[in-house]
Amino acid sequence: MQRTRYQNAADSQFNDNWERLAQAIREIHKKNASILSFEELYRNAYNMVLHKNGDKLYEGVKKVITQHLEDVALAQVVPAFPLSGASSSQANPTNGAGGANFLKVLKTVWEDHTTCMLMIRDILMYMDRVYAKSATVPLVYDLGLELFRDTIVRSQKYPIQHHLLDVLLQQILLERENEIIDRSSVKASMDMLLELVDAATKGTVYDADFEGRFLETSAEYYRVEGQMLVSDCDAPEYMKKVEKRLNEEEQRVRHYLSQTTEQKIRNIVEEELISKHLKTVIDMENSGLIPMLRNEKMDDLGRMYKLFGRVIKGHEEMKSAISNHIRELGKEINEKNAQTGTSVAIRWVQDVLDLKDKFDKVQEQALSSDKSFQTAFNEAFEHFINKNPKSPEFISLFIDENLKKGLKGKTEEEVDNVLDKTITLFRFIGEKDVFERYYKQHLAKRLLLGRSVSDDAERGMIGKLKIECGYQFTTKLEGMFNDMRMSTETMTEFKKDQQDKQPSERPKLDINVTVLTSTFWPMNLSASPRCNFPAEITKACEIFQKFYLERHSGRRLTWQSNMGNADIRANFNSRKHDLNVSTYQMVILLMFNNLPADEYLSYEIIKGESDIPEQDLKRNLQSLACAKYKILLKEPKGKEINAGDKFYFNAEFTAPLQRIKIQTVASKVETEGERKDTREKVEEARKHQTEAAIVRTMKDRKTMEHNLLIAEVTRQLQQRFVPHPSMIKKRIEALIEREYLERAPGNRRVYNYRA
Amino acid sequence: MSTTLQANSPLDGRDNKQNFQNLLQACRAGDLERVESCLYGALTEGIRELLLSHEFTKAVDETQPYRHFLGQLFEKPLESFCDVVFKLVSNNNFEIFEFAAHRCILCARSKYFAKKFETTWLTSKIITIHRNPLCFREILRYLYTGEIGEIQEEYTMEILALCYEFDLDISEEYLNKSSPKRAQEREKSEIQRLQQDLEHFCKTRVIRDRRYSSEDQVAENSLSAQELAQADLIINVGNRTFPCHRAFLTRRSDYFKAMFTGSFSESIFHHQQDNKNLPVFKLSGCTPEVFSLILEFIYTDKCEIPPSISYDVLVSADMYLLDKLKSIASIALTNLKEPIKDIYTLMRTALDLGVERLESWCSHWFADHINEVLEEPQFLELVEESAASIKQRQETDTIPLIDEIRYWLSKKYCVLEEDVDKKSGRVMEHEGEEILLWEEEYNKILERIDQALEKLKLDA
Repeated sequence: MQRTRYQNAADSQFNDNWERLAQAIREIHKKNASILSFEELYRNAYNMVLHKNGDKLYEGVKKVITQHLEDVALAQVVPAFPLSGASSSQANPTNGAGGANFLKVLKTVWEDHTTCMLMIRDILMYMDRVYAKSATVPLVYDLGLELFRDTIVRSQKYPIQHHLLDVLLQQILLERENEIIDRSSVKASMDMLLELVDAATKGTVYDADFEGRFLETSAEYYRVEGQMLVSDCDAPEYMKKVEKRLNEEEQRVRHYLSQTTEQKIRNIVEEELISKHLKTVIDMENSGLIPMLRNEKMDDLGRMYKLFGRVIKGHEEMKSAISNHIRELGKEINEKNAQTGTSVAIRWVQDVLDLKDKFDKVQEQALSSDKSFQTAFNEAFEHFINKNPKSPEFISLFIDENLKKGLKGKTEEEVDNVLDKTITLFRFIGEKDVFERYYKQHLAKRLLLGRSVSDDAERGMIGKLKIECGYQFTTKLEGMFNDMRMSTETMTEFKKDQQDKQPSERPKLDINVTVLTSTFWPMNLSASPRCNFPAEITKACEIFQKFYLERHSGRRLTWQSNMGNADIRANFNSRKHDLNVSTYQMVILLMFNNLPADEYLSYEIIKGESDIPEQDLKRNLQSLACAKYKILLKEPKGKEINAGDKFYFNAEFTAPLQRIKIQTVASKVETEGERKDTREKVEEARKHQTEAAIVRTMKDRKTMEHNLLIAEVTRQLQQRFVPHPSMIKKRIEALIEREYLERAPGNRRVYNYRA
Repeated sequence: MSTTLQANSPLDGRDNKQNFQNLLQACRAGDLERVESCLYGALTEGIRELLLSHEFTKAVDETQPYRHFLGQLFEKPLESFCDVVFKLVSNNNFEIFEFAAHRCILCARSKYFAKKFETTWLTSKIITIHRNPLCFREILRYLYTGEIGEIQEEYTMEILALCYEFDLDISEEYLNKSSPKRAQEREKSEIQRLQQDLEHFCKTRVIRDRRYSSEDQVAENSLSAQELAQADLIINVGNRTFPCHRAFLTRRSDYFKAMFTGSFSESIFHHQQDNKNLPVFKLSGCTPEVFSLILEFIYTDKCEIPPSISYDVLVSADMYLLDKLKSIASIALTNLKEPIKDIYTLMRTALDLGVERLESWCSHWFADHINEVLEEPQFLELVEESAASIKQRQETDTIPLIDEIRYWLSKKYCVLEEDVDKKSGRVMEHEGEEILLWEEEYNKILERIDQALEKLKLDA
């Protein structure tokens, strides 16, 4: 009995206290907290919990808050629903204001709620600490969030959730359509959704309700936009729009969405606007990738690089498109310069260099110096450069042109620059040995005719080649330089030696001999050029020969009359001229010395007496009779030298200069025949190199499997040329025949080295 | 410990594993329990050994929260009701420094400041001082926390000069932080001194205990201008008046924080504060004596509780959510031999407020007085409730209260565990051993308890 009475008293006490608290909460909701006494309310709540009425208190608070939220939903939220039209997620620009207003109302409601909950939390602090903990119920603030979620955001009575999501999506849509929206109220709603927890997933309500739909509608939006833009815009404009969209979405996330959404929405925009239209944009006529390259639109290219880099395949597509373009252009250059001739060679190299410059610029300015693009470009260059069989010769000729004396007003630095670039082209050449051969020929001419710009420049170039291809590649070139130096020394000694001798034993003319080591220089030993020298010259040669062999016994000297030149003085009617001519020309001119003025020499006589090879003879006669300075007159007149032609000495010859240089008419680009010749020589050299490589390898390994051997030999030779496996195989066969190698007994694919 | 770790450990900073960060944090906070848990989760044997090589005791540094509080007052004066600003100009570049501070702290810690604040600076809000700003800030730090931060050599003399001027006992050795061990001792004594200073301040100025007051004529409810100048609100409890400081109240207690920084009527006064009329609040949850102790605890983080009011302090501490005071009170309460209140009230309070120490003390008392209490209906009611509390969770046979009482009984009668029959709980006869007299008595008491339980239809 006593207990019940106690109970009753406690109950009525509780009811009193609770009524006061409930009233206080209602006042808080009315924003009248400032008239309430915290001390009293706290004590009230404390007493209830202390007297084991925590559960009743908790439930009561829950009820009051729920009731309040219901009222708020009905009185504030529902009236703010945007008018019809928001019920579908279609854009309805006229309704933007309604939506914005709805969000504003919701923002106020949410802010009021959280403010109130903080106050309620303060007065119920004791309940939170003591009751909520032991009863394992949410703290009162979290309870407030749950109630807000269930009563307002996901209200069962009113379609608030539906409107909220629609309005949010609609606002975003409006912003995408360039309308100004009230971001702060959108953000407030997002923050609200982010703070509310979804009971089932334990994630936020933002994740559960909003994000999925947002991404879905965004994908749809950009799918449509992508198709529209592709048909309406040219490529630069398209990319500008895409860039803008990406920025916008990033800004959007920053301003009012969850950070977790950033990656997802970015992926969607990238997928819809970039991935799906990659090829279309690249291939756009008049504005796609190739036109951009053609017009050097660095900004647009840079933009494309940046944008396409965001998606898989983006850069791949760009790379292959550009590579193809380079090959195309390269092919054009090759075709344009298909003829022979020095000017063609120079033009070809210049064109290629220009192309290279252009793409280097693109690579640097638009492609952030991307290494992978560089590689792709290089491959393309390599491809078309090697498509042109003459490229080694052309490049060598180009270098020749630049290293020759008296070049059209280029400074040393400029030349050096050009050569540096040329080296990059050299890098692309597969057949480096062919190049070497040509280079040797050109170098020899420069050295022997004294046409080099300077030793330093030549050595500089060789240094560059050495860096590219190593010591082995340049030893012979360096040897040529050595010969030149040694010869100068020898000549000084020779002249000193001659001074001590009797005048009768001295040669009657100045002779200058360059002694060349035959293996270094490009000349044909077996077919030493024939030529009958006049007597005094033969004498001079013999004197030198004697002098030289005394110092270097056991050497053999062969006179390369096709490589020398001579200064002769000719008496014409008007005046005397000093003529600088080739050795052959000298021989020819000397034949006219004792001829009466009206007499002529026929082609056959000249040929018979001089014994100069036909090809060279014709060319030299051409230089004397058909070029700028006509020292000889030909009958009949004409550009070509034919059998039966008659030659007169042109005593009437006049020229403004005292000293005249007679250029040899020379086709410096090889004729087809010469090319074939060079080719054969190269092939021969390759055979030797291949065999050397095989033997080197086998000597080291003793026994080796066929494929491995091929691979190793290929690796070794790659620096000079790309050997064909069948060629290596032939060399192996040859070596087996000569008993350097043998097939392993029992396994025909393995070779043994025979010591 | 944290300094040693940073100096010696090859792992410091580089190992960003969560565990290690936790450890560092724990070290910095001096939270040794967490250090130990890190030890269990040590990444590698090497780290584990390294940790073990540093001696530490499990005892948690109890002054930690209080020191944190002081640190916060110093670091964030603007967020904690500072009431004075010092303005200093740097000699080097004429940069102006402004340090906000609390009059109450400075008064409590330094006679120099106390005197100044009661005379020349009585009403000043901004005080311009011509000293080196950096040194002055370190002096402020010392006044607030008892620590002086790392200072550059060149400032040592200047700081010492300031100490002399402000009448502070800081030696050069302290500034140099010679040996870690000495520093630790020094740190300990500094925090004690800090507490003493604040205790003196609290007792003379806030509680205004007559014992501490030199002047007899201090009237109970009239406040001198000096006292008013430092306090920023007045709390009336019963017939007594306490001039208090929001800085302490709001930072030390969530209750007062909600009260004075929330949105309720108590916070509104804050905005209309003027020096002459301090806002006055009435607190009706406790007696003036209890509130004095609460204030002492809030200001100094310690207090001595007279046994007579220890129960009231316990209840009030619970109400104001002051957990540490609650445990201090429960210790005071349980150090007594006999209950100062009705034992059943005590037991119920212990259960309601979750004070295990008191609960255990009560059970002990019940065990000592088992014969009497078994007759009392209130005791039986407690037993029933105790059984019910278990049943709510799951069906078990134990009744926590009875178990506890049995434990104390077994202690009292020196019953060995191996002699006890597992099933009945009685002391069993063993071969060659007679049951001793007190063991027989123990069995008898258990018998009575079981009978009582049977009456209640409980099985234990």
